[in-house]
Formats: sequence, C-alpha cells, structure tokens
Amino acid sequence: MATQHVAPPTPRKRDEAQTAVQVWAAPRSAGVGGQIGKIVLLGLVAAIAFWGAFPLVEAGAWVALGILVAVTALIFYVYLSGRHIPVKYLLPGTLFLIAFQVVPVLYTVSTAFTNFGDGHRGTKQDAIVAIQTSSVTQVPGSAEYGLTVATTGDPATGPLVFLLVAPDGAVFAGDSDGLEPLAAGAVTVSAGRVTRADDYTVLNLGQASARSAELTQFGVPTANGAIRASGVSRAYEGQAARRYDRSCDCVVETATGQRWVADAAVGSFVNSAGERLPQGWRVNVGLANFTRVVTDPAIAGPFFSTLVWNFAFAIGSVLVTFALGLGCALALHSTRVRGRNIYRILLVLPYAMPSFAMLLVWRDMFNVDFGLVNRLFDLDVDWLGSPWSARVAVILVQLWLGYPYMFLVSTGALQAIPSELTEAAEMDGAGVWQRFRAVTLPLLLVALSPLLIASFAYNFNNFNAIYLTTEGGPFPADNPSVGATDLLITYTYRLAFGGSGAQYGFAAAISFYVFLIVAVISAISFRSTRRQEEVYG
Amino acid sequence: MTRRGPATRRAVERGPARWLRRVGWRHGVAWLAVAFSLFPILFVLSAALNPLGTLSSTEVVPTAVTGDNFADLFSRTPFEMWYLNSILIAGVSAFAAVGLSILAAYAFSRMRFAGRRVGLLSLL
Repeated sequence: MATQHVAPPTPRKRDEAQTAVQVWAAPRSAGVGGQIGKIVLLGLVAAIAFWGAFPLVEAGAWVALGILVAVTALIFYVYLSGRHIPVKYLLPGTLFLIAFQVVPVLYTVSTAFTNFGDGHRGTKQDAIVAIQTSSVTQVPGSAEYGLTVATTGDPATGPLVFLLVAPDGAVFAGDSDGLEPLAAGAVTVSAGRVTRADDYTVLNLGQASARSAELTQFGVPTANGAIRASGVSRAYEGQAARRYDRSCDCVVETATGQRWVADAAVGSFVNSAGERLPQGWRVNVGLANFTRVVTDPAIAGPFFSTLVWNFAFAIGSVLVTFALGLGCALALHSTRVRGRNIYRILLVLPYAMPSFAMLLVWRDMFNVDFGLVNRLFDLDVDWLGSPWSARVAVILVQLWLGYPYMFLVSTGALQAIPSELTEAAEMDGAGVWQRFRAVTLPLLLVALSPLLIASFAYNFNNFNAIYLTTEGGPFPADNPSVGATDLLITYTYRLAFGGSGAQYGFAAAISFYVFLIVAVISAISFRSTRRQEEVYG
Repeated sequence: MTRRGPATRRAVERGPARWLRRVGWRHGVAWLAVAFSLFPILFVLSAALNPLGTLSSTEVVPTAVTGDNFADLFSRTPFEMWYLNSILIAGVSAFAAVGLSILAAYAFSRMRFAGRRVGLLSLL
C-alpha cells in the first residue's frame, strides 16, 4: 500500500540514488573482521550442504541433491563475486521465503490433485505387498521359525525387524522388504532363538508386548506369502490367500477365484461389484477433489453451511470485539475520568494471558454441570451441547480474548484525531451521535480498517478458538464429520487427521479453497480502504 | 418572560445528574468492562490457589489458599526446561525474522536495482 504514495523520483533524487549505487559498487575493503565473518558463514553453508548431501546420495534422491548443489553454488557465487550488491541483502530472506512459504503452498496444491490419504499412501508395488502380506494364513505343514523381535532404532519406536531361526538352524533378519540371511558369527543363538545380534537391538518381553498391535500387522514378505508372528517367540511362514497376478493386472483370491482388477484412475483394486480392497496406491486424480466439494451431496451441504458459519464467525468476532473495544475507548476518552489509567491497565489484562490456556479455561467454564458460568448465574444451559448456544459461546470467548486489542488500537486512533474537528462540529450544532457518526467514526476507520481486515482474515482461520473449545461440535446425530461450530480449517483438519481415516488430497483441496476465499476478500477490502483513504486523507 | 438559551438550560442541570451525564456513565462502562475482563483471570488465579486442584471445585473468589500447586510446578515438572525452551524459541525466531527483514528492507530502501518494485510488491 505504501508504495502507492511514493512519488515518482525527481531527477535530483535519481541522481542521489545513482550516487548511492556507485558508492556501494566501488570496491570496498570490508575489514578483517568482515572477511573472517564471511569466511566462517560460507564455511558453515558448505558444512551444512555436505551434511545434507550424504543422506540424499544414500537415498538416491537426485533431484533434491541437484537443488541442494544449485542453492549452495548460488550462495557462493553471490557472496564471492563483487557484483549484485542488492542480491547479497535479499538472498537470505528470499531463500527462507521460498522454503517456508512457497514450497508448502506448492506441495499442498500438488497434493490436492492426488488421492493421497489412508489406503493410498505409497506406490502400487507397496499396495500389492501389503495386500499379499495381510492375507497370509497359516496352512498345515508351513515352516515354523524361532522368533526374536528386534529393531534398528529405539526399542519403543524404531522400525521392527524379525530375527528368525529356521528349523535347519539358519538365521535370517526379516523386515518389510524381505528376508536376508545373517552370518553365523554375527549372532548368538540359544534354545532355537536369537539372543543377540550385531547392528540390532533385541526387544525384551515387555518392550515387545508393548508393540503387540504392530507385531500382529507386521509381515516379512516371502516368495509364497509372508512370515508372520504368532506371539512374540514363534513365527510361521504362511500362504497368501490373495495373490497379485501380473498377466491380468489383478489380485486373485486363491480359494474362490474372485478377482480385483487394478484401476489406475482411482488407485485401487476393484472387483466386478465395484468393491475396493482397502489397500490402494497414490495416483493423480486431476480435479476430482475440487469438484467433489461441490458435487458430492454428502460434502457440499455441510461445506456450504460451514462456509456460512465461517463468515458469520469471522465477521461476528471482528464486529463484537471492535464494538466493545471502541465503546470502552470512547468511555475512557475523557480527562475527567479519574483513575482512567488504572481502568486501561485492568481492561487489557486478558490480552496478556496466554490464549491457549484461556481457551481451555473458558471451555470448562461453559461446562453444563460444573462450569462457572452456569454456577455463577444459576443457569442450567448446555452451552456447548446445542448448536446456537455453542455459537454464542465461542463468539463470547472471542470477545473476551479480542476486545482488549481493539480497545488499545481504538484508544490510540482516538487520541490521533484532532479535537478541533469535533469541537467545530459541536459549534455547528451537531449532537453527540452526529459528531460520532460523521466525524469520529470515519476518521477512526481510515486508520483502523486495515487492522479490522487483518483481524477478519486471522479469525477466518482461527483454528485454536474452535478446536480448543468445542472441537467443532456439537455434531448432528446423522453426520459426525462436521459440527455446528466447525470452521473450514477445523473441518479440513478432521478430514486430514481425524479418526475416520486420513484424506490428505481432499483436505488439501479444501485448504486451497480457503486460501482463495481469504486472498480474494483481503484483496477486495484493501483496495476499497485505499479508495477510502483517498477520500478522507 | 426571557428566552432560555441552551447555556441557561445547562446551568440549571447541576449536581449529581450533571456528573452522571458527563463523567459517571464512563465509570459505569469501565466498571462493567473491568468485571468482564477480570473474572476469568480471577478464576484462573483462584484455581491455582485451590488445594483440590480441579476447576469444577473452584469459585471466582478463592475459598481456601494453598501454595502446593506452585511448588509442584517446580518439583514435579521440568518447568525450568519449558521456560528455557520458550525463551530460546521466541528469541531465535525474533532475531531471525528481524535480521532477515532488516537485510531485505535495507536493500529495498537504500538501493535501486532492476526488479525492485516488482520484488517489493510481490513480497507484500
């Protein structure tokens, strides 16, 4: 905005600017300290680049490695050459801006075009392995192994490895990639089980049972099926009931002959009845996620009602906080009020309390049985239990959290309005309301509308205000996916990370809609405030 | 009968009524707002002093006072570490943000170069 008011450079100014550039471009001795600082910082960059390069080479991530090399080379070029002085100042900010703003946005947008989510996380090959491994059942005569559960990392969280002793005494290490024979010298075997192995941490009984849920899911793929645990000390090689058949690109159930054909458009194996296997893979679904928001009736209805409430919440929060803040500021805008500095300090105290904690305290104050609000006023209102009282409650919480800020900025803006203007209006016979309506409020809005718009944009995505108080609830009995106080951002969060399975692709599409809405509204309102400034300023 | 202007009418209205109209209501608004501001904070303070340690047994005005909760904070939780972590994160992010912004702002305001205007606008 400020750029709009920069006058075109006069010839004199341009001369000055050019002199400035010349002064800068002239070779300067940076001083010994500066040189040493530069060498240290560039050395640090090189060290970080090397440190980051080895894992990338190991993982074969050549694109990422290329980017790393290019960025490092750019940094060295910019700071070692004597030219491009402005770039020296802009490069750090630009790199961080790209890394923390542009890349996440691009990643979100690219995710929105895929079906990424639970059941569609990896490649098709991963899905086939998962289907075959999970369908393994023990058949008569299948090989039995002595099992020791181990890991390559932390006992509680590291990736699981099965250390297996075959009936013939051979020792293997098996993980989700398959079996690998272990040299006899690298392990200690006693009573048919491995008790120690180089490079692996053996889990004791307690540690292994703590991860029993993972153990029952875990399988080491083999040629005919998979090796699965039965308990924590025995394992068997079972036969896969479902097998992938390359010739028909389908999964066949061996016993019944039923087949699920791979469908690349949805990333799933689908049978003739249209039923999908739970394990699929990640594919590009084009605009399906974006159109689903509008066309799927189970999504579109809740989406639009959420959108309406989202607007009501953001506008309502801004209006009530501004109204109360301005009211208090007007009341205290008089030197005749004794002790007004004490009033002001006490009024802004909510602003000093950590909002995270206070949101949780407010949630408990609205509790129907033990909440302070009901006890204090002797009410029996289920505040967070019915849609409208929950909406009122969250707005009330927003009012408490937000009005001290509005009070502060309104007080500042009121003091900046020259008293001559209101006095002149009084001379002309304007009443109190007229003076406020025609003089004070327009002048206040010139200064405050950018803040109000920013506050609107912030509240539009005010995840904490909803998630820490109502968690989006109360939920209607027939649709547990979207509640009465859900904002789009909390709705998106539940889609992406909620209990009913993650749908990252779809959630990313909704985030993109939210981004568009906020960007458009902010752009329009900033444009109109600029016009307002031209009128009054 | 003399005409009574606004000045004389104002002069008639004296004492408490005048005070109420010009100053008193301001105190009223301020008192209400202060009460609204402070009661959750008093509630938190009262809960901190409450020996039972639950919000549902807490009133706005403390009914019993104990320092146990404050002592527990230091004896039973790594509060010092939380505090240091907060300072570390706030300090590093503030310094990094200000440092990067200063560099960019210096270049934009003191130097003239190709793409300056476009860069500034896209940054905003």
